[in-house]
Amino acid sequence: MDFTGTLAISGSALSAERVRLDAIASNLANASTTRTPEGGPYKRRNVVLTLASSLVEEGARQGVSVTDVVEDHTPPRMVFDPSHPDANADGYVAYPNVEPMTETIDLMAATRAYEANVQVIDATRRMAEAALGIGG
Amino acid sequence: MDVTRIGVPVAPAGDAATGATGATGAAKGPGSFGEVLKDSLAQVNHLQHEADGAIQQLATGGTATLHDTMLTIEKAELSFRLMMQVRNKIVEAYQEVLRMQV
Amino acid sequence: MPNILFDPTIEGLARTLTLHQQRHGVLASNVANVETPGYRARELDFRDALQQAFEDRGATEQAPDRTPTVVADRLAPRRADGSTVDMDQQMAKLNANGMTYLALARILGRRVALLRQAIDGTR
Repeated sequence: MDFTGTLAISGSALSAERVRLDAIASNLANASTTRTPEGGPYKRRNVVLTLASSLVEEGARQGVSVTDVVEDHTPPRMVFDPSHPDANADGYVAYPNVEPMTETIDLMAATRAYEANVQVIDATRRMAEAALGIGG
Repeated sequence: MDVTRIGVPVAPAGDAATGATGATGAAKGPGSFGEVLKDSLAQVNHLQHEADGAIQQLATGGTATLHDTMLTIEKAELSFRLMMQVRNKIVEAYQEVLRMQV
Repeated sequence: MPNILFDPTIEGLARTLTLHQQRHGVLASNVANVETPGYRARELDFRDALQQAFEDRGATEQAPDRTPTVVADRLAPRRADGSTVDMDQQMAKLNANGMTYLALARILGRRVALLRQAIDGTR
């Protein structure tokens, strides 16, 4: 129940949101990547967040952790463009299943979550300092 | 001033402070000044030990509540200061008595 | 000789500080999990413990029935992904709780300083 543990909880959130931000950045950067080493267009990355069981303490406080970064298997967007070098036999190009709008919304959520947890860390630090100030 | 004088036999101080409650020269009776002094010393000691423990806990494992640690340390310090003040008063009174012409 | 070092107000302040510290941990967990799907926001039910914090007790431990418990926050609205964490609400609670903690800590510090002055001051 001490402040160090609370800081760890907030820290876990910062780490998790960072992973999310990286995935979103990757998605946005590759929104038009039609060719990848594995073949086919870029597949959207999705970050799975769950409670961090290692940070569970008497059920009172729980951090968050990234359990997985998965590929989104939603089918790619097919765009008719026979002149495109990656067009298939029917003249369609498979574009990544990345919706910029969705990514932007996720980006805002992740950023907001990140900043909120930074504020929590500040608050925790201030409280700890106040406790230390009791000695005068 | 010699700090170790705090351990001086209580009887003379008890005699010197006859004005205190209940002390009629017998420094060992319950509620006598001597007893009160001994209890105070015991408490100072106890609080110092508690403070040491709290400091150790903070330094090694991390304590659960910072404010409790600070309070424990404060109380130990305050009780020690109180003891020193009492000691000073006793020594002053003792010396005053020694100065008296008998 | 009354023991001036064991002021019930000081003891009470210390206990309420602990309670607010606990609640801070619970609320911090909520904010940490603001993006965790299905996470249920929590609260600390410490009303009883708070009311009894200033009782003049010799024991340093709280009686078991007064221990605050972590409960699901039933007042928290639910979102589409199953989470019940409203970030603004949680941050507001956290800030209010934090300010109370800071106030209590400062008051406790002043009470202790007063004690010290009472002991040292008269020279």
